[in-house]
Amino acid sequence: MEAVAEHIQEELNVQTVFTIPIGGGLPVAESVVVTWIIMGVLILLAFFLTRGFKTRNISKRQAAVEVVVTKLTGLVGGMLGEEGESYTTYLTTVLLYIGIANIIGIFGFKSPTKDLNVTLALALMSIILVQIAGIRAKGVKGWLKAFTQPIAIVTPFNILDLVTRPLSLCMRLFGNVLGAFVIMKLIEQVLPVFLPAVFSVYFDLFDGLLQAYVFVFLTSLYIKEAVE
Amino acid sequence: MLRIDINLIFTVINILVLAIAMKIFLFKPVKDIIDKRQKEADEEYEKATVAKNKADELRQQYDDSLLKLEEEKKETLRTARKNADSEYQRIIGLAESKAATIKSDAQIQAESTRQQVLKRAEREIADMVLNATEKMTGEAVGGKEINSSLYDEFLSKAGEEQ
Repeated sequence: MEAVAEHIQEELNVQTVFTIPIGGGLPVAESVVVTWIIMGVLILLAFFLTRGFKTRNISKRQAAVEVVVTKLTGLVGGMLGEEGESYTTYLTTVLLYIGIANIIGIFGFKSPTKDLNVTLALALMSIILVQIAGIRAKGVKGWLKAFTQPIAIVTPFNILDLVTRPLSLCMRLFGNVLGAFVIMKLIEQVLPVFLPAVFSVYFDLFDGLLQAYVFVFLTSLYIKEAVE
Repeated sequence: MLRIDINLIFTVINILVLAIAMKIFLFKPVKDIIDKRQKEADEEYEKATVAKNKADELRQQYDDSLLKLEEEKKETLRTARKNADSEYQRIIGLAESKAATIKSDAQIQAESTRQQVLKRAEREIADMVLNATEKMTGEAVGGKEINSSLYDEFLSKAGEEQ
């Protein structure tokens, strides 16, 4: 048992891969390096998959890319509604990134979303995006006024939302990935054959993609609320 | 385990870079190609509509000209029939009048022939009678001229009585 706890502890620790020698030294965590790998793969895939697109007699590759991209942007755009459509690109990227980050553990990498820095960064960006969307849609005055709606007495709670929403987004994602990881490790300890494979489908694949969807869904919900 | 440090900033930069890169390399090309295809499809549709309208117009024109031709045909036929009719009437009339002329000519000729025949018969009869009388009476009875005038008178009287 001691060994298991130690192993999990070690797996959970976010290692510093290297330190950039600027000032007192900037430690670059594993999560950031894995994120670079994800970025590299995504960008290269996007670059090569969209080569030589035609309007007629399209290749299977083009058809597949078109379907996937249209479905994904359609999904996110549908959640955002008409007014928030301009944020579709960002949110679809976040969906792709979190989705891949959550299941990249299968390929032997440490999920970046197991690092609180990453989930917190995503959550903060989301809440800032929500505020920007509100200001863009209603102007600064309208945005400030929205805090007193529907009645003045809820103003403190609305302001509190600025903290609780990103916090819940951040912690939900972090907790889910962490929890799934710990459970999987425990199951592996109980029975290393067959059982982990079955549960892995749920904890690693389904839950990972579901959390990506939940994160994007909630963010788009907030944006929709902010622009209305 | 729960450390929050400079990596938060790194992640923010990473996500922003990824979002921009995805927009440039994935979403924009796909959107562009779909828009372009849509535009092409719209153009094709527009072209097809124009062509269809033109075809309809041509068909209408064709139908119209066919109708006109039909009308013209009828008109021509009618005129031709009318002309033929009048020509027929004229020819018939001509034939009739010709026939009438021929008939009357024939009648006249027949009449004159009859008259001639009659006259000749009269004369022959008169001659015969004269000859006979001459033979019977010889030169005894008066002169020749008196006898012949007497018979003439007798014959014309006989003709009137007939």
